[in-house]
Amino acid sequence: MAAEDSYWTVKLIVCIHCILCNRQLYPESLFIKSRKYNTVVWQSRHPILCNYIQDAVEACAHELQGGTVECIYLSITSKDHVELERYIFSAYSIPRIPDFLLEKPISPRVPYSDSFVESLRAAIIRVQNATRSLEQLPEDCSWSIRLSLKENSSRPKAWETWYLSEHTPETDLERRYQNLTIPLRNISIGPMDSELWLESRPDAYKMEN
Amino acid sequence: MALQRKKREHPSGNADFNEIEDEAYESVGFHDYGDYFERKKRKLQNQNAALYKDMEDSSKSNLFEGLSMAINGYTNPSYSELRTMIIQNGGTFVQYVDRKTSISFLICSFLTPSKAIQWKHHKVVTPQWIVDCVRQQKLLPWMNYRAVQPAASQSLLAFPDAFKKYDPQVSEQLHESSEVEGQPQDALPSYHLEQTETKENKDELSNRLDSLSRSALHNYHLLKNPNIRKSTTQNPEFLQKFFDSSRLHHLSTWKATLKEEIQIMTASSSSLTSTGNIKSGNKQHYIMHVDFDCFFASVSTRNARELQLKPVAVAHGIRNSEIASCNYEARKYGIKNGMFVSTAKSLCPSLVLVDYDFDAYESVSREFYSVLADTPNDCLKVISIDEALLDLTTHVDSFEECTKVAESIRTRVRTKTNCDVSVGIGSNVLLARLALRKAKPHNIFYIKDEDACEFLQCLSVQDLPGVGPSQSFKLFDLYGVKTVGDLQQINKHGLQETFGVNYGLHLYNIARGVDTSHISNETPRRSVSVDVNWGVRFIFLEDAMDFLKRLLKELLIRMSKCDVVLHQLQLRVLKRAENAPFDPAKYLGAGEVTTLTKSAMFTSATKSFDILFRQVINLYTSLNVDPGDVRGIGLQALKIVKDDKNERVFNFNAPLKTPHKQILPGPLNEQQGQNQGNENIEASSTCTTFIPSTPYDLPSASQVSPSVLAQLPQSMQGNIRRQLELQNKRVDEIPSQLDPLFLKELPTPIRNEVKEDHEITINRRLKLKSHVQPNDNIPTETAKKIQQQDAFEKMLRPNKKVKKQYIPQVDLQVLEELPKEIQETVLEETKVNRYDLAREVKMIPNPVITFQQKQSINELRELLARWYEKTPRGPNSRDVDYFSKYLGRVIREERNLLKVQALIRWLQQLNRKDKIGAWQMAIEKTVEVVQEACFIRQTPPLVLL
Repeated sequence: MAAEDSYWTVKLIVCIHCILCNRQLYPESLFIKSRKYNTVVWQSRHPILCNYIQDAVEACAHELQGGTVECIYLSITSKDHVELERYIFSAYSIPRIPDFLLEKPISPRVPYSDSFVESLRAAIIRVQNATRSLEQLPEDCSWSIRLSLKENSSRPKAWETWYLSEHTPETDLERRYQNLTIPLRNISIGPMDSELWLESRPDAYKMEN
Repeated sequence: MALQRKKREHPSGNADFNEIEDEAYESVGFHDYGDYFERKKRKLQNQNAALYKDMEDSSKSNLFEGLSMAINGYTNPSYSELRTMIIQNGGTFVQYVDRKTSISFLICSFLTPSKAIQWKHHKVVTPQWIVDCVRQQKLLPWMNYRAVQPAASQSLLAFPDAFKKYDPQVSEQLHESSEVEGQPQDALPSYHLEQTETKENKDELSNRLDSLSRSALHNYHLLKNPNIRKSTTQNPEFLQKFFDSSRLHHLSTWKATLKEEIQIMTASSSSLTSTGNIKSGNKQHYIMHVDFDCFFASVSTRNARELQLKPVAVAHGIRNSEIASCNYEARKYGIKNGMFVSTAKSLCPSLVLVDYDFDAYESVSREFYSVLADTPNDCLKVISIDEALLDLTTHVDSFEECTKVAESIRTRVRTKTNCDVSVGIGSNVLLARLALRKAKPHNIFYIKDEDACEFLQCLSVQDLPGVGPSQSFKLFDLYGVKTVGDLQQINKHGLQETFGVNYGLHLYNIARGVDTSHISNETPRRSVSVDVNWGVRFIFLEDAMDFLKRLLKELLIRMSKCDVVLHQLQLRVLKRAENAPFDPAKYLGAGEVTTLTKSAMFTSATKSFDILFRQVINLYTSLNVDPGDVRGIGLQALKIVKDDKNERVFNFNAPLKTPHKQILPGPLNEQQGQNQGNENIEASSTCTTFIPSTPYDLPSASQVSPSVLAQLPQSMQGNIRRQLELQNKRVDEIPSQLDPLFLKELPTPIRNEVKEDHEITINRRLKLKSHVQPNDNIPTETAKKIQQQDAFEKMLRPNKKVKKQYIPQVDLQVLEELPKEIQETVLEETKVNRYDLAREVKMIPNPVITFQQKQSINELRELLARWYEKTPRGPNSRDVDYFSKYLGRVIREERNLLKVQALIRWLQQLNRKDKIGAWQMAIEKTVEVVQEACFIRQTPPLVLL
């Protein structure tokens, strides 16, 4: 994994852990408090869950490197496969990089400094607060990591390992009318800018309940 | 190890070899594997030779003569069968391949992938080729029997389509050369090619012209005029002419010779003078600077009284040349040295122009120096042909005495040469020089130490030696210094700070008339150089190569005159300055130029043309100058050392022949050994059992000692001479690094290949309409190769001296479309750094949209608060539109939902207390626009409450 992406993946992993904990998708006892970016975060102690998250994020990172990814999102679905919440980590600002340039890291410099940490900490705190203040999810919800690609890229690099989501124009339109956007925080690290926001479907909770 | 040196000398072995005599069969210790292996290979070759010898004549043939082959891996027919076939047909069988180039063909049915890569540039054929050749008793084109298919090379992508047009020609040539095979050897295929080539010349020329840069094209049109071409580097006799008529060249050579003569003179009398020098430790020095008055002009007019009263200038009579020297009459009109003839003519129409008379200058100079040498002195230093420094310290006691000596010098020079000299006298070199300036013309002037300060004060700073326009400008700029008097006011530290420690000190000293430099006896020569900066006009790269070749020859001639060899070679190229016009003011001159230099070191001192020329070509190509922009070229031999006569110069490029023990018993020096070795070859070449394909070589002409040659028997001398003559032929005719005899022995197709190979390296000038020469023949294929190479070099090499931002030539998009392997090769071939390409990846920083020059949330909040305060009755609807438009853009372009949310919340907050209806409406309108923007961006509506 290239150094440039590591901050992305670490950030993603931390956010996922926090979201899963705060949305109570798993029992709270599975998580412990931990410190990251100089703030308190929740971290799952369950090895299977940890590995799963790690693997999913790594697969995302692999796609991210090419710069073809529009955004990565964590979507929480009810047991009827209705999407209730969607946490979007946009990656549109990662430029498209041809494959042959990816084999070696372009520059060994790690774009990691205090200001970046600040930006990341702010985002994490926002994520924590926003997720805690949301209404409780119905029972038996599930979650998945999805990614959507930029306009002119047809499929992920490792497309064999990805599932095509049941993403139709109708569901998309439905989402746009029924969901609400809660902006979280933009993380700007150098020229890379990643927007974080959350789309939730307030009426859905009631329907389920 | 003696044997190692000989390893190539016996590729096929002499069949008449005598086992007992051959040193390969001597007993060896266990110490040296390399030696052992050499012996083993040698023995194997002897076996092969014996095999060939023992074979019946009927089964023998010379089919493969001159070809060495090796076999790799499994083959059908078997290894030993193939070996016999090769040897039977006169080929050289190589068992252990130590260098790929040492064998002509590798025979194998199949190559492992890694080997296939290693051998991809070599001739690898299937065993079937041998079998078929032997069956048909002629060499078949090996291309049809390739064992390794050449990989499709993507390198062609980088070239314009024009090259593809040549492809049919290439195959045509191949076809023709294969036709020639059956013909007798003396019919070179090149003759056959000539016809087709002249036909194609026209096309080729126009094609090539298309690829030229503007400056080269300009040169092309310029050189179309045969008269102009004659006086540029395009003329093969150019160098000769140039140096015959270059005054600077004459000046420098005279100076060099004079220095040497003076050195000899002083060396013989040093025992006398050195004691005097020591004594005069702190004594008053008397230095005399003697100089001719307008040397060239006065020498040219010395025998024509009537001219002496007229304004006279010395210059080449043609168009815009510079005036080298003019007499004092002419100077009255404002004419100065270095002025263009046309300007001078306009100043003084009656100006008489005189051409150079180099012989006269030399003779006058000799007279002058003989006078100086006759004058009793401590030291005589040659400054130039017409200028000298004399140290009279121990011979005179006062300036008055000095003046007497000077007067006698003047009269003696006057009677001998009919010319005037001026003399300046001072206590050091600086003062003498300044005094001389005062003394001119026709006078003597001395500066006493006590007067020096006063004298200096009224001089301008630029009059001081070593102070140029830039320094004087700097002085004026920083200190307001104009005269030396002003300069004397500045303290040492200030000067040293601005001008550096050494130069600052120098300035400080010379302003006070202090000169610490001594007249020392001449130091030995440090470099030999050839420089041409007039008439240098090239069109093609080949023109430049051709000229470099001639220049290098000239340099070698000069070096041999001085009897030196070089360790370092420096190439200097004057390149037309970026904005300089194509035609400089001076006719065919250099104009405004930037100087590029590059040098190469040699591990051992050398004077071999081949080695040096290869290096020169490397240096030249690495400078990456458009041939059309070259305005001058110079070669300089640095770190020169006296040529050691007995120095061993191995010719690594051609196989050597070593002496046989039975002929030359006892120790011999290398030279003799080599010659004797040749003698042996000459003798054995008449013998029928000698395998004629054995390549042999004579050392280059310079290595053959004439004394040794004279001692050889008559017939042998003749042989060696003939061979040397062949070697000395024009390089154009015979690729320089090839032994012509060796070449002659080769089968025709192979000879052609060898020649072509060499032509690529030697870069022969191309045959073009503009300079067609009889017998000057180069296949278009080779020409293209040269061009391609050149194109690549140009494309790839970032210029070292002229710092330019290097932009990769690879189109990223094209590259991306290619399959991965091809991408790799393209990247590798172009050597484009990934990092360079990465720069091509466009990183568009996220735009941050400003509103009323405000970007951050806090600033915007402040702005909104003021807006709200100032318009309590509700905002202007146009302002609302403007603001909501901005928020829309933040969502769509800046992609910052949080910011929009924060700003709208802020507005709501502001209005919460007063609940102004107009503002409420405005906020709702803004929210509407924002949600619309969200919709466009395909995100659900924003939570705003």
